[in-house]
This record gives sequence, structure tokens and C-alpha cells, in this order.
Amino acid sequence: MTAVLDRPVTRIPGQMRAVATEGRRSAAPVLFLAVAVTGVILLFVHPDQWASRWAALAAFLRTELILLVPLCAAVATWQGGRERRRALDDVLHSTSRPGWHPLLATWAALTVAASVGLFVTFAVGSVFVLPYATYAGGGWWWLVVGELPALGSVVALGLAVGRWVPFRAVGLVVAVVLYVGQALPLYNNGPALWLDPVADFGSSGYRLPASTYGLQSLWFGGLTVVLLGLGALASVPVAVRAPTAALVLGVVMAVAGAAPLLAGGYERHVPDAVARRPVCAAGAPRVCVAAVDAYLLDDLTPPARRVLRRLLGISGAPVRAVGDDWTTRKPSRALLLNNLRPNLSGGLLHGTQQWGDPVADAVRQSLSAPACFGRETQPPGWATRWDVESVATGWVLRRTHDPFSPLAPQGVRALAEMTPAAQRAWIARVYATRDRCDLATETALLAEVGILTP
Amino acid sequence: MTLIDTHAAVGADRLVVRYRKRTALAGIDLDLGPGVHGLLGPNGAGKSTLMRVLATVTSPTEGSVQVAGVNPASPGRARDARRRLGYLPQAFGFYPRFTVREFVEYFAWLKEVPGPQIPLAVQRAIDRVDLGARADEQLRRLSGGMVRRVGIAQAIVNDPDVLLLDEPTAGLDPEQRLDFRALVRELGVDACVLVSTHLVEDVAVACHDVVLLQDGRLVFTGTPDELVARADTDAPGDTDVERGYTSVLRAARRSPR
Repeated sequence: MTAVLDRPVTRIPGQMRAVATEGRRSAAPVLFLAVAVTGVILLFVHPDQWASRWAALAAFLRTELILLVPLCAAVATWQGGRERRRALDDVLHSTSRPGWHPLLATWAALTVAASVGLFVTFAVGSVFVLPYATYAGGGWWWLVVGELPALGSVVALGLAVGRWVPFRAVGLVVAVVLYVGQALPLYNNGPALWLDPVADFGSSGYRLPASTYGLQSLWFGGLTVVLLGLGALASVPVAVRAPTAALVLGVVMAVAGAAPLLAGGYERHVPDAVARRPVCAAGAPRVCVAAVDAYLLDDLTPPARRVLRRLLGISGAPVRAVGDDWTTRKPSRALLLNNLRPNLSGGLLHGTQQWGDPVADAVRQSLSAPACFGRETQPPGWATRWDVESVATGWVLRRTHDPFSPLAPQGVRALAEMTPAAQRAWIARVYATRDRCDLATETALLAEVGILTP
Repeated sequence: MTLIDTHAAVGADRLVVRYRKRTALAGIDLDLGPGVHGLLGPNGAGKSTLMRVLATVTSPTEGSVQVAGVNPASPGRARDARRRLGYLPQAFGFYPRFTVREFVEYFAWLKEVPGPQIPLAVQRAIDRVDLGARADEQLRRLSGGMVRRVGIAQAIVNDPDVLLLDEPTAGLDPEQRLDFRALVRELGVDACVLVSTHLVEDVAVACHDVVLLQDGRLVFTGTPDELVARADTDAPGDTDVERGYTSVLRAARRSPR
């Protein structure tokens, strides 16, 4: 009878077998499906925010945690109450293995399930990034890897709450609290944001130093160990020594991670010079975008060059097109190609109305007069500058309708009836008024194209 | 062999268990060695409480117990005792999505059966309760009697020196009860098997001796034949052993505490 027990205990095969069984038979498969399906659905709600860019995909996956974290916590909480619901405490209490061993097996199974679900989301996203991405640097993969400790801590939280609180709907409460708890730091942009799974990971022109990811992993790792310790104290057979050691170790780890994050302030992003490096299309006029957006050059160059050629030789008009470089420096006489939004096939996502087409938006922006900002809402002449810009934009883009300026098409037609030289002179005068808010000149310009202002 | 003799035993020394104001066990002295022991008594007599204390689930309020040669008062000793223990509680919970094999395997792991030996130990336990054909079915698809047999399989998967079975035959059909009796007789050759039941005839057939509890007190210990010998001719019961059982209980009720 005792012969079996007198042999040395080999733990690893049994542990792995227990984890595998939990992986198949616990809530792990449900968690995997929930994370994968939710993650993929969220991906396709806003594909323009991540398609064709690795760093943007990684950052979007972190953003998804605002829903995935409550989801994981709710499922883990339900799992944590399983032994109580199934009246297994007595029979488990009579087994020799300390209660934290099965807790650890369950935690590992759930964490792996959630991580695989997230990996599936990432893999689906990769299908729409890999063929098109023109920049793969910036340490974006740290963002993805950094999610795993966060998921581990959330699963540990759910298991601990499930073991301690004998209330079936506690998972829902935990989910709501976590959702609100994650969202709050997003609103005040304080250093506490870096303790949030859903931190602000910036845009493609920035990167975070590896130390930030390291400290975050330490923080979430410590949190995981603390929460597993708390869960273990509610598990049978009760063991005190290991959970207490876990609590101490976890607190030390969490503080070691959190203290520098809190002390370091909110601003941690550093410019990603390689991502911002300009990449230009061959030929002239010159069209350049940042390396991270270079996959859009094929789509941007023809319309941008059509505009630049139409403006060629007009005094004050843009002579080149440049993409966003995430700096406040605005190059002179350039079409600024901002808000570049990709579609899922590596191309440019065009807006359905007047806004959303980066080339058209850049033309409009090149004509707008910062000096007149604020005047648009004040009579007299509140709409004068707007109409001037609308007519000029319509002429540059050869637009015959304008849903936001009903008078503009009439002005564009009148302008087109002038001689080519007069048309170009009219546009040059519009550019000339950009730097001074000259209501009299703008009124005269509109009058020349048949638009009489009150 | 000496090792087996030492470990295949349970004992209680002036064991008292109280739940708030209610006394569930009132000073039990017990010493059971290898063999099959029947634990009888009416509802509320303290059978399940005694089982839970011996299974190290509940701690004594006063007195002490010995399980597999160990006093499980300290966590380390309790762990030693639990390694040599098998327990089927009266209310047996289970994971419905686990298969029979997975469930028994999981408990083999919880009982620290060495990893390489787990597959063989699991198969043997499943075969012993005659569930080999259903080993890969989920527990939620099994009848109540089959689940009870799974409970017995998890209890014996570690080849325990002390096996505590609380109402093990509940839900078993007559044929399965016969098989169960044969199984416990086989297990009782090397181990100390304590079977709590309301089925007096099971005890008479399968057990070497009988322990009878009444109101938390031990009112009889002896062989089934000795229990039969205590039967009053006018005592209710269909069999001699049932009459012996009711006679002992009646006498205990009459005697001053």
C-alpha cells in the first residue's frame, strides 16, 4: 500500500497534466473564445486605427483591454467560486496537496486561455498588417507581450474574489468596477495611468522606453503574486506559509514596479525617429510621408500631384506634399497630409463626405487663415472667409458641389469662366490673405465670383 | 509489513466536536486497525462528523485523533496523513465537465501520487469500480450511482492506508452493492476501511466489525455476530443484525448518560 508513496515525488508531469485538464474542462475554453471573439470584433470596429502598422495594432490591442480585462475578471471570478458551487470543499480538504497548487493550475490554465485568445486577435490583425507595413521597429511587440502580465493579474484577481466572496453575481460587480477603474485614469492623464492595463501608448511616431514596459510587467507581476496569495489563503487544504511568502514577495515586486512609474510622471513617450523618417515618392512634385505611413504613398501621390500641378506657379500656393511627422513644425508652402487613415488592404481610407480625404483636407487647410480663427462666428463677415476658402478649394479640386458651403459651387463656376490667368491670380490673392484677416479683400474676392455678402 | 500495520489504522482519544452549542461527538474513544469497519447510527448520531474529523476536514474541539499513524493536528502532519487517506464524503461534489478519467487523475495529483504512476493508478481505480467502459465520458452524463462509483475511485486512487466512505452505497443498484462489498473486502485486507451507512445488512456482510454511534456517543463496538447476539426477540427489524442494531440503540436510549 505504501510502496507508491515511498518513491520520490516528480511534480512536473502531474502539474502539467492538471493544467491541461483545467485548460480543457474549466472556464478556460469559454474565456479563450470570449477574448478571441470580442478582440476580433473590436478590431473591425476601428480598422483605420491599426491596419498596416505594427505599433498601431499593438497599441489598439492594449486599448481593447478596457473590455477584455472586465471580461477575463468576470470569467475568472466565476471559476474561482467553482469548488464552493460544486460542494467540493470537503473532499478537497482531505487531499494532501496544499490548496494553492490547484489554484495555481487553474490560474495558469485561464491565463494561457486568455493569452491565446489575445494572440488569435493579434494574428487576425497581423493579416492586415504584415503585407503592407513599411515600418516594423519601435519595440511594438513589447506592447503585446506586456499585456500578458496584466491578463495574469486580472485572472488572479477574479480567482481570489471568487474564492473569498460567496455571491454568484460577484463577477459582474468585479467587471463593472474594473471597467470604471481602468477608464478613470484615462481622463486625468496622471502618472497613475501607467498602472492601468489600458495606458496611453501614443501614436505611431512615438515609442516607449523598454524600462516602462519592464516596470509595468513588474507591477502586474507583483499584483498577480499578491492576488494569488490572497486566493490561496481561501483555498483548501489551507496553507499559510507559501501564501504569506507570496504576499510579501508580491508587495515588494508591485511596489518596485509602481513607485518609479508613479514618480516618473505622465510623459514617457519618446519620438521614434526611424518611424518619422520621411520617405518620398520618386518624381516631382515632391510627395513625402513618414516611414511608418509609407505604405500609403502609392495612393496619396497621384491625387496630391494633381493638386500640386494645378497650383504650380501660383504665388503662395503649396509646392510639395508632406505627411504628419508628429512635430509642431509646419513646413511652409506644403500640403500637410494629416489624419492618414488606412483601409484593410493597405490603401487609403477615403471619407464619405467632404472630410476624410487627406488630400482635400490638406488643400482646405492650406487655404485657411489662422488669423481669422474666431471671426467665423462673429458678424459681420462671419462666413466670408469660409466661403472664400470653399470656392478656392472647389477650384483646386475641380469640385462642382459642396455640402458645407451652398454658395461655393456657384463661385467655382464663375471662377472657371474667367481666363486661366485670372483664375490663378484669384487663387493667389486668396493665399495672400491667409496671414491677415482682411474682410474687405475677402468680400471683394467673393463679389468677383458673383457671391454677394450681406 | 510493520509499516502497513502502523499506518492502516485510525484512532480517537476522548474526541469531542462541538458546533457552537451543539455537541456532535461527546468523548469518543476508538481504535481501528486493518479491515473493514462499519459505522452505524441513526441520523444525527455523529457519523459524518466522525468521518470528517478522521478525514482531517474538521478539527477536534477536544481530544485527538490518529490517522494512518499520525496525529494531524499540525499542517505538516495533516499533509502526511492525507497522503495515506481516501475519503468519500456523504455529499460528494464533482466537476461535471471532467471525464471520469480526468477527475480521478486530478485527484491522484491532489493526493500527490507520483506523476509517472498516475496513469496506471487511475486505470486501476477506474477498473476497480467497474467504470472502465465509461472512463472517457463526462461526469455530467453519468447516473447518480455511477458518480458515486467515481467518488469511490477518487478515494482509492492513491491506494490509501485509511479509507473513509460516508454512505458509499447510496444510489447504487443491488448488483453494484454486491460488487462494492467485494471491493471493500478486498481493500480491507491491507487498509483500514471505515464505512458509514444506514444499510445494516451491508455492514453485516462486508464488515469485520461494527461501530455504533448514538447522540455523539459510542454505544457499541464489536463484530457483526456480537451485534446479532445483542438482539432482543421483540426488537423491530427484518434480520437478526437489524434487530441487534435497534436493540443496542434502545438500550442506549434507556441508559443514563
